[in-house]
Amino acid sequence: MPTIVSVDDSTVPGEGSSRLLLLVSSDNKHIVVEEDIMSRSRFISKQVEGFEATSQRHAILLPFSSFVLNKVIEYCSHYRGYYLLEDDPDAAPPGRSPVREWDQEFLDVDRNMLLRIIKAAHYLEIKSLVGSCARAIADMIRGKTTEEMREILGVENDFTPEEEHSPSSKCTG
Amino acid sequence: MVDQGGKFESPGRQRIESSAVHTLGPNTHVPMVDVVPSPPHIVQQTLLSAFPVELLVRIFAHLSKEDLLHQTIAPYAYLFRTLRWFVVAHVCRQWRAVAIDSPTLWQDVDFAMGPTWADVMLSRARTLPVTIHKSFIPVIVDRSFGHVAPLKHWEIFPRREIDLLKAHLFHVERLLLKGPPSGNCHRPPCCRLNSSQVTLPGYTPFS
Repeated sequence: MPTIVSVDDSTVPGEGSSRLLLLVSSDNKHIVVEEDIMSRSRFISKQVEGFEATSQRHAILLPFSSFVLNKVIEYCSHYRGYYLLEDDPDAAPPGRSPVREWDQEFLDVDRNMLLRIIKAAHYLEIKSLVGSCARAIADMIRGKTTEEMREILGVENDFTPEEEHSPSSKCTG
Repeated sequence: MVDQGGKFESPGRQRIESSAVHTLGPNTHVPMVDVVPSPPHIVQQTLLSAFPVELLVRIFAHLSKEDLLHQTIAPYAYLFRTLRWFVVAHVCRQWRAVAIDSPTLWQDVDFAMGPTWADVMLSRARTLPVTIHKSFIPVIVDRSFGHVAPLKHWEIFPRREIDLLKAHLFHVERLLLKGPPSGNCHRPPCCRLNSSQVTLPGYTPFS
């Protein structure tokens, strides 16, 4: 859970129909964003529901950097007002859907950034972004050897030699 | 509207710099707050911890679905069904545990790998609904010599597979039976059958 700090209500201006949220990244950068934009995040929506019980506005402190947070906001801004099936909590889990072209370009980032984005999306409960990142990561490792997978995703081989050749793991046909 | 400067000042308060400030007019004041930094352990955990299990499952699910799709459309792929995605189980302990212990990854069970692996896949799916893929392949292919030989009708759907199917009927959601491509069949089990339908009128799982 992030730490939530109270903000004096009088200092927060209302602009248009959407209220403003103050998000604070782990590197202490303050990012003000319209609530509408972040409504795709179930985590933020739940936080905001909690705010409504009080008259105070709040800032939400998040455990990832402003660089990552800005990318997530960019994604949410792009799809502002769009219905995405993956984000509908009442919809059945989507099957295999085509890759959205914009998502492909958006996620054309280095490995570390991609991993940070998917973790942030997971934390913020943005299912559509998690899905797109997961597909991008799957594309990175598809058809690769185990050694290449370790290298691509920075995973350490922690098997003992016996475990590595365990018969229970061999089901690749 | 984005304030490109990213700097806001309020009398009597410290200046707060922001790398990106969205949706604010040029004269808008950002609320000044006493920011309590995230506890270091949270930040560190996010960067250094192993990948969350749910995310690995999502990634592996993409790999397994692509596998299945490829092996459904590729010519003769039904003869050589494999679980290529399962190579992830050789990467590290966590990945192996996730690949084996996540029932959602085993909901498509292909009998083309033989009853032993079908049994493994059905067990790993636990009680989740499964889709059974059964290809009726009336020939056996010797991979070493490229020899093709007809199968006896009882070899096409062996008793062991039927027993396995019966044991797991309670969680079979879809049963996909597939014949060989036309022209490649030496002795087709059902020469004229090209579709079948099973209906259970008035039945719902909870009735």
